Amino acid sequence: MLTVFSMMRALPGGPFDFEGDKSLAKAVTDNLERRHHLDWSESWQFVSYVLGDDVAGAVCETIPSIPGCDKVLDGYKAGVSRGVIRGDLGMAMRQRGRTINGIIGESFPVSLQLGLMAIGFGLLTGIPLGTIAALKQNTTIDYAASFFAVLGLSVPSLVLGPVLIWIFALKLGWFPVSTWGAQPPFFLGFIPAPTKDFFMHAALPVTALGLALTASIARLTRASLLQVIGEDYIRTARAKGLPQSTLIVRHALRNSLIPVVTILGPLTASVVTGSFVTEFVFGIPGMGKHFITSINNRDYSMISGVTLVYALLLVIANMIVDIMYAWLDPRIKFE
Amino acid sequence: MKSRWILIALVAMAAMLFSACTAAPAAPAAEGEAAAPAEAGEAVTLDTVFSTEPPSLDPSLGSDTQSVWAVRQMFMGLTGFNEAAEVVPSLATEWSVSEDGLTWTYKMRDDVNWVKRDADTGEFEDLGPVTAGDVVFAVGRTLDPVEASPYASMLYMIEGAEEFNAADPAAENFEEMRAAVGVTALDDTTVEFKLKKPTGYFPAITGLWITFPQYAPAVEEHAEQWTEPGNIVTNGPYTLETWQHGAYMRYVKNPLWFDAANVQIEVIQGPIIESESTAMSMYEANEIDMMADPGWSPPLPDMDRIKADAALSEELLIAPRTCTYYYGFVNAKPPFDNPLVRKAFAAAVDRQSLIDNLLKGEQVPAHSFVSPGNFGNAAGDMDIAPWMVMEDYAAQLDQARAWLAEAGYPEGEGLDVLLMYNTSEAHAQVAQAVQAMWSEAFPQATVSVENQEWQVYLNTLLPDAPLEEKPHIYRLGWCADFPDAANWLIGVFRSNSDQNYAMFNSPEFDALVDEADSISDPARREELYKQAEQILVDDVTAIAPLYYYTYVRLYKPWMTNIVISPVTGDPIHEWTIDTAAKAAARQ
Repeated sequence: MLTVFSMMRALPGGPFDFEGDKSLAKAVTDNLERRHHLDWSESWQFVSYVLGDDVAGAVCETIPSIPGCDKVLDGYKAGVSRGVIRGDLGMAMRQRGRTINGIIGESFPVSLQLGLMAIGFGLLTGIPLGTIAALKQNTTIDYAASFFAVLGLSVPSLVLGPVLIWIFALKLGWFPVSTWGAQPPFFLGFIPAPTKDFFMHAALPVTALGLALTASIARLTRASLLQVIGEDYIRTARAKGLPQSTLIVRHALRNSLIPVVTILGPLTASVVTGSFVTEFVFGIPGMGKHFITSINNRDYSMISGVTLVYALLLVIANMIVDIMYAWLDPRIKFE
Repeated sequence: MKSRWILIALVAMAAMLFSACTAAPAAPAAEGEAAAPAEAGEAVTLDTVFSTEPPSLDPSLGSDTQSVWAVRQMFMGLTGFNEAAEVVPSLATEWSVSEDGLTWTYKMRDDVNWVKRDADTGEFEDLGPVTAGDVVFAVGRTLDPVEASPYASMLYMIEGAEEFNAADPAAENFEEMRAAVGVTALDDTTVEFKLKKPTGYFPAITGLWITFPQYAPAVEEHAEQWTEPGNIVTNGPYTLETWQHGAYMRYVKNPLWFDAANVQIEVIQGPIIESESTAMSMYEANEIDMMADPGWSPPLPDMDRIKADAALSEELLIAPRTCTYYYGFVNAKPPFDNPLVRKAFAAAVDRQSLIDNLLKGEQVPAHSFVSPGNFGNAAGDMDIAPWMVMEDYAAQLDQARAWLAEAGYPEGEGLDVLLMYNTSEAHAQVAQAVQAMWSEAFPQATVSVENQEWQVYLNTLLPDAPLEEKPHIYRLGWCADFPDAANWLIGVFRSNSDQNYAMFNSPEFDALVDEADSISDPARREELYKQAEQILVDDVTAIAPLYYYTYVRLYKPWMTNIVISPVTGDPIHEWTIDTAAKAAARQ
């Protein structure tokens, strides 16, 4: 957090140097910076960001001799942040009167819906595809599946999205061109009402985002399954006379999923915090764009906010992955 | 055995998810519906997209196209701009200036009322007439350093304005400084501005959104949330009904507006779509009615197709816009401290070819800085830098070569020139084309191009940034904040301007624009601006203007009576829609 916080402030250019093409008058920039406490020293900004303005103010009230306290005493009552520690990510700098909590709160559920559906799509198409390819190794089916996997990986969603729109929305007219079909409030904060409208809108973006996942999951499944099938315990199981289906599903596939699950952790975190490209192409009001625009705008609080959410999700996803390991492979045990 | 149940549960969940994902493609019945989102009732609706979330709908705080567009739909100011970008009466019916040019008095109409739309019931409440006091409140709020309006400096010609805006809110005399700002309500319908120096273009300033009246009780009650639906109080033809942040906006007609009887379009609505090609697809699927502000222009890669397509080419509308695209020379950086070198490079650009082969929006080759549509522009005056836009480009090129040879660099020998632009595909294409033109014109010169991300780029260019880090030539555009040459010549190239990235410094130029600034005789002001342009572009050639922008737009055939304003914020209340034709096309 400290790294992001100081790194972005080291970038040339601040959030209020320019408005569009035009540089701002000194007094105007000063006013804007004062409003967001950017006139404070960096360490006090950090204190305010993490602990809250009132804490910074209270410290300075008590010991006004700490360097930088004069600015803090001038401005802390205006209140910008209650502190990350109390769950407040601060005020957006480029959108007046909006909190980061508010912005993430309305965009994250949408990204989560899109991301989870895409992961579901990827798993449900990728694993069977990989399994079939492995079982029919070096046959036409295998080559076709591998070809599809390479294709899925190499066609970026920036290309796939518009192609899907062109075929299915413009030429065939089956689906709407863009936008997202679900609106808050959501059940449990992220589950939308399963209306037809929602699925109609979701079909194309989920496919666009999911196909790349399908491809990588299929490739991994295939490679890993091929390796597992060659192991001794599979031969033993086969010698015991287990039917092929049980053998593959219960014994081979389960173990071969470990690499898949491993990549699934970081993959989930990145997909559910928003795919910039897919959301951009399909006009979906998700979180992905904030990663890009906030940096271009030098919107410090937004950069910190989205980075924190992303980090948090990464930790959670990796934790779930670790738990899955133990279930998939009994040799892995938690101490 | 427990694990088997977990497995079954997982498979079941996955199956549900899978059916959710794939059920949609199996539903064939949705063709018509997909193209036309459900509409509420029979309201006359303009469907559009919004190219981005407006950063603010607060007249005091808006500064970008999106915000200003919205403010102009919802609020009325003292003055406005017509199709030719001339100042016209709006909330004010007439105005006059004192002999010394320092006091401007506006008489306002008394039949424009504040309205508020109840978010729950949808009813409109009449909150009484807009008064001179509301204008005073708004101007004071724009200048208030606590509000930190990004455009406050536009009002610095008002007495006490700069001092108040630069004041420390903790200062003891802060309230006195607020009171000292030279704007007063003489009575309910008369507002008076006292200026610190005569400003001939002041009526254009009162057409800026940052001076539009605001309803103080709403601002005070809801603070920063006053622009949310249900809180916002407006006085214009439309008001805000829905704002799903980042996703969707809907404006509805204000039935209590003084001229509501003549407003046909009742709803303006659409999603926020940040991809222009997606917006284009929506347009072609009849989901939206136009490719224009507040949405996107048609994407450049589609322009050839649009012009070749029988239907689309009919829907194409190209209109002048008050912006100029130019290459600036860093006048202080050798060898570009030599005017002949600058002239040579400014002349060796085939502007018409750039427009025909690259830009494709019927832009106009530029030979002056101030674009057409601004008061005091010299775009029609071919005495100014005619050598930039000659019919015969070969002759123009010969002239360029001659100048460079005269400067001591025959064929560009010994020149190593850096052209810089901010990272963008469109700017890169122009830069590469111009680089090729220069390399062809001056075969011995080395011309390299470089790009920087926007914020870094502007910091590199700032007049007080280190000279050795600056390029020789930089790209920029300028769009009018208000359509008057003062905004261009003083705002950008006066020697003390923050935007004077060219580091152009001519006392003669400064004197001309200062004089033009201080008088209100239009003929004399026009004359002075022409002389200033002559110096800037022709004599000194501090910059090489490339082209004047145009608005490139698409409107469906059922959009009738389109009126385009060269300044941001088309008067949509004047437009009409042939609803029968629209409904038929969407079947």
